[in-house]
Amino acid sequence: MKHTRALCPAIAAFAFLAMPAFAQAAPAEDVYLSVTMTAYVSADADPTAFQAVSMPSPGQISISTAASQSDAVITPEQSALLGNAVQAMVDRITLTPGPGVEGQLPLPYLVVEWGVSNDTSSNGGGFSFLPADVPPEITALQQAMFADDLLP
Amino acid sequence: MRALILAAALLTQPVLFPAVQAQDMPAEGPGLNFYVSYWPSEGLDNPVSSQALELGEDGVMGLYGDGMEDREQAATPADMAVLQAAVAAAVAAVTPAAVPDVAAPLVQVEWSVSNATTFARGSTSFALDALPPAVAAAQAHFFGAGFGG
Repeated sequence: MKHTRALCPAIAAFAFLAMPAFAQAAPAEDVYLSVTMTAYVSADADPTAFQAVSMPSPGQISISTAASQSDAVITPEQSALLGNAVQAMVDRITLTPGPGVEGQLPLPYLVVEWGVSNDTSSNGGGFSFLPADVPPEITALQQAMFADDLLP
Repeated sequence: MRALILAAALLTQPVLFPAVQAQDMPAEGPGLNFYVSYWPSEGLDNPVSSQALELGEDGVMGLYGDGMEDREQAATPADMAVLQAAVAAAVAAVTPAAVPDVAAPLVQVEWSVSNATTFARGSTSFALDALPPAVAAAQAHFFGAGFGG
């Protein structure tokens, strides 16, 4: 569908995420969380820098950039930062349909993809934010995990 | 019945890889979509009943339900309010916290929305007796009835 292509910026980095399929049976009390930030700064090049934070299973954290990847036991502080970031994305969902973002936002902007799954639910999405509109929960996560907000 | 096939297909599709879905699954286009399916017992491969509503950017919604003719009609402000309340109830169930599993009979509520700054979709299973009232209200409003009654 051609108008789906209009969602390109928000969708492109979905490939960074690997959410479980609905068909996969999840262990009891399973939770999966992820947030991925990608900065779109140039009309001429695809973004190469991203930041990804996920909780692939309870108690674990995975932190990635284009240059590095690390897995560790998640701290309560990290868990709170990631949970707050995901919740902030869910809370920003608006239910008025309309055309996609491509060509509507001036550069630079930050795309934030999020995912959350548990025993009964599987959800994901993406937002595009102008620098001034990046939610504080996202900035807090970026600063804590990467000491960098990705934007020029 | 394309939409019902789609709704069933969603159950077994990964949430992501929308680049592929964008070619095959028209419901992923800009709009507001709402699917409910009924799973009365454990171990079913498919739901026993489904209802689907796909609202396009043009304000026209397609309604597809078991036992009814497919129909398309312009969404009135009242329709929008009912639809948005139902999807909002499903979105409100999304939490980063662990939640206990639920047992059949289940109603699976799937939704997707896209607009200038959002693309989001989700699927949540509710116990039939814990279905958000706004979801049941949308089933009654658009399809004449819910499930399990």
